[in-house]
Amino acid sequence: MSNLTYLFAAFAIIWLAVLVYVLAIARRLHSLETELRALQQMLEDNARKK
Amino acid sequence: MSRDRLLTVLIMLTTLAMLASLYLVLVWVPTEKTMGVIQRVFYFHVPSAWVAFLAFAVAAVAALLFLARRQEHWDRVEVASLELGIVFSTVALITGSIWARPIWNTWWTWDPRLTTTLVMWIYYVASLLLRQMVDSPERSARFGAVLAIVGFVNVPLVFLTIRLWRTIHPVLFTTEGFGLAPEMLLTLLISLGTFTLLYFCLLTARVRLESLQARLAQLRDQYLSE
Repeated sequence: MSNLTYLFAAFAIIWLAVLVYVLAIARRLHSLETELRALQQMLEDNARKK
Repeated sequence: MSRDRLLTVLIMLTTLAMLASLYLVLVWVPTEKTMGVIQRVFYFHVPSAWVAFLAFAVAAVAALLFLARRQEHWDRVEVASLELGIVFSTVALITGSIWARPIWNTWWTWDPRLTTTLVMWIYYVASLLLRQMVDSPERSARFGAVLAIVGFVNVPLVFLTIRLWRTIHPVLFTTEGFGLAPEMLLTLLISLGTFTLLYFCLLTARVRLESLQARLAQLRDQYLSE
């Protein structure tokens, strides 16, 4: 392998790791926000029924 | 400034800094004479290691604050920072290994710097896993805080290994200054700034995630009790 290939591999790993981590956080944030909204709605509905 | 606005500003600043760093590293900075193009890994390898040290230091301070004040916020900062420290030390270990292959002719060697870095990485991964095994959230947070503080003892040792022992890892900062050409030093400093911004950006998002998880758990308990 040439030095350029090693350089490419190193850069690809750095940016891929950051991208995967950012996407994982974004996905978890999105799903939590959805769940939170649904739960808040259910609590409000329960309060109205009472 | 609201949290959302702060995060947006941080993301914009980090993106601009990343683009500038990439231009400097791939186009502007001169190629090192002995190692050739592979030396350019250095401009992201060193900042990754720096951010890992910073993240573990922030986690240790947050752990101390949690133990002193018992505020959940500090536990969230500690967990988020530890996770980021693990991500960036993984990047530093992998890029170091890729850089070592053409220069040292091996992927890995049990050099003091590499060995202590690996020990640090294993310790923090294990500590995050161990705290998840404790059922009570309060005890888990206390246990995690103690692990984060104890683990930080190894961090200065990792930094000092190349000064204390005979090693093949290059020494960058000496008492006589930086062993770098001015263009290389400028590129490194900008890259260090970029990675620091990236760390704070990710930390803000990760702490927000922890806060949302806590709020969700609280609402779930409220719903079940009604």
